[in-house]
Amino acid sequence: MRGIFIYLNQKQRLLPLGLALVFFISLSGCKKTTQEPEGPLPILGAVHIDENGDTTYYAIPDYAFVDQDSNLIVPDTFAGKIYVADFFFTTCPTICPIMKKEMVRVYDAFLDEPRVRLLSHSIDPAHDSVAVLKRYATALGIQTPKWHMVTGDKDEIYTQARAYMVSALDDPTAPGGIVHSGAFILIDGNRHVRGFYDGTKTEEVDELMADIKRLLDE
Amino acid sequence: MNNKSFSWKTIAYIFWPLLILGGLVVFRFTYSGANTGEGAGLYQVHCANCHGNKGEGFKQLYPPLAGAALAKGDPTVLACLIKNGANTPLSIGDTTYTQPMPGNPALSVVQITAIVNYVRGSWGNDAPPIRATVVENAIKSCP
Repeated sequence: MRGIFIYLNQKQRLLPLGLALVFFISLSGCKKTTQEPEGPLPILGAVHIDENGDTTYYAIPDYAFVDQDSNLIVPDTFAGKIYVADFFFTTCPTICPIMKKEMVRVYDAFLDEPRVRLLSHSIDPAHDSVAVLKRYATALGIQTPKWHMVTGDKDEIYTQARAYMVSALDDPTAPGGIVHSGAFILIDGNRHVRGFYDGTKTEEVDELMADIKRLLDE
Repeated sequence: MNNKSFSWKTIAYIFWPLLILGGLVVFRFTYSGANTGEGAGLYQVHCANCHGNKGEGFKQLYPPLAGAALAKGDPTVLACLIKNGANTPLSIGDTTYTQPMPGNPALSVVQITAIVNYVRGSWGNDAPPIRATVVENAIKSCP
């Protein structure tokens, strides 16, 4: 190294150092600074405060769907538990396979935690009958009480998607004919929305799993 | 005067190495380890969501392509699967895959050939590449 430096004047000798500095500064800009969150998770959605000053938080409205074992799934199914909801369809070739791979990670992580459940709604109920969902669930190797895959009236499911503040729309130009959100929604034992995560992104699903642990400790 | 011309020289000394370095960094992050061939790109778009980035498949939903006889074997079968999908159960070893596979009717012969050749030559699959005419003839007489 010294041999090369002999041919450079003083300012030029500083050049490699300056370059190295610029390079490392540019690298450090890519690093994500993470801060350990503290306290309870926020409750999301519209808040209503009445004249007495009592606060009412947005809650998931009533619903009734049928899962892969023909069980009726209603809000009481998740009483005293927390659950992760999503919307998918079994023949979706785009984001659903990635969402399901990510949901399987959540399933595996909380397999032995009875207070955590998963709820996947089919947005293509015309095709995704109970039998089709059963076949899909069997291929995934999941247990029904832990992970309910539900079907029902299409309008009710689309309405329910909006109730979870996510979108699902028919679109003949989209692969599979439906465009929909890849969101995972975290719901607590009081039907309150506690978090949204992109179910196609590993980092966000990691965040979801950390938030589930926080919620379990509340 | 002398001082001024020297400072321009210094700027030039800094500018060009920085440009080259920047170019290298961009190149590194854009092409890191990726196969930039057409087949790899098409596989990523049309196949990888289900069959995985390394052809590993997923549970009993999506069959693996790495090491699969179907992927390495008769290319006309693979070409027809890519074009038209499949609606009948598929058995690999002890595992039966019942999830239907969607077809890709919009893919051209050249694109299907690129995917077939990528699958045949990746993740330990060592089947030789095939010509587009093979695919062209195959998809005319798919089952």
